[in-house]
Amino acid sequence: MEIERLLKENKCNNINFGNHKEDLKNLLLNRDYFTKEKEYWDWRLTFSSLSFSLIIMMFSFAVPLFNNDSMVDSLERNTNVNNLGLVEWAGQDVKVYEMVEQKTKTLFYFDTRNDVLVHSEINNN
Amino acid sequence: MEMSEIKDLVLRSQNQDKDAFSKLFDFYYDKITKYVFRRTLDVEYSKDITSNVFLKALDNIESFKWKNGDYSFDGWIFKIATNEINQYFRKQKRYKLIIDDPKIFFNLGDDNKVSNEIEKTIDNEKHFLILNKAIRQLKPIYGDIIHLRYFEEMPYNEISQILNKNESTVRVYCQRAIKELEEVLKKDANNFINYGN
Repeated sequence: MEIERLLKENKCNNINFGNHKEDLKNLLLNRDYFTKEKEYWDWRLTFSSLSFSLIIMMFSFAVPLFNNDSMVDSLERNTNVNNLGLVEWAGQDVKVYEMVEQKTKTLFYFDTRNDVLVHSEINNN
Repeated sequence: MEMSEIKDLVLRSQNQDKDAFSKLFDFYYDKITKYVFRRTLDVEYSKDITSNVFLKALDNIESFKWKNGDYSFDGWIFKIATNEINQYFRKQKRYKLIIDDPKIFFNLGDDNKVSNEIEKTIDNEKHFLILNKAIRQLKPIYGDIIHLRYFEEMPYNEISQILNKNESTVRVYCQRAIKELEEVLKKDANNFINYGN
């Protein structure tokens, strides 16, 4: 208890670094943080992109049940879709199609062997 | 300052409110500088470390989230300070310093007015210097705990947040730290001749 009392009583409290406080405060308050524009999510755009992807996914599962025509063939015929050719993705060869709609680009990756959709991604510009 | 006021200032600072951050800075500046100086006993490094603490706090305040009760922000900013101090010690390898020669023991920087005033203050705080020298001979984690518990008067739950340890572990370490500190001071009794006076 004696040691604890000594520690509490001998703190060296009278420390003052002169102008450092004001200088540092000015530096901090003039940082970009206080003037930069905050980035917010565009929920409408994100929601529309997600809905669109969901439709495409459902389409990719449902269409083969009723139609022999593959999703790749459908995309090939769609004028909004660009065929970006073959690329390597996650250690496999895939065909990539890009669908452009307003500010949204959706990329579809298909396995080259059986045209099965293996990946898709949405980019908002 | 009331905890609700700190919460409000932090929230407003997260929304880029200059005035709120300015008040938060005013409230924490003295606490941080004292903590840093007590740990380093070096004016120039204390200024640099304090600046880094607040720059990091500002850069990361947006991602700060309240947790572990009301002491969360205190714990968060002192954690930044503790990390910066430990980084300083790692760079300087200054754990083992000799108190016999005060000029070696602490660096008062340029011989300007501020340094002279601090030199006078420290000269009047011989017990603090002796305690500080003894604390530096302990394990770094014990040093952290003694400083936070007794000089900064922080509760155990806040210290556990700063040091990423269980509260019960901190309590045990604190008891051990005090015991070891007592042993070190006994060995160094010549320096502690006025012990308790």
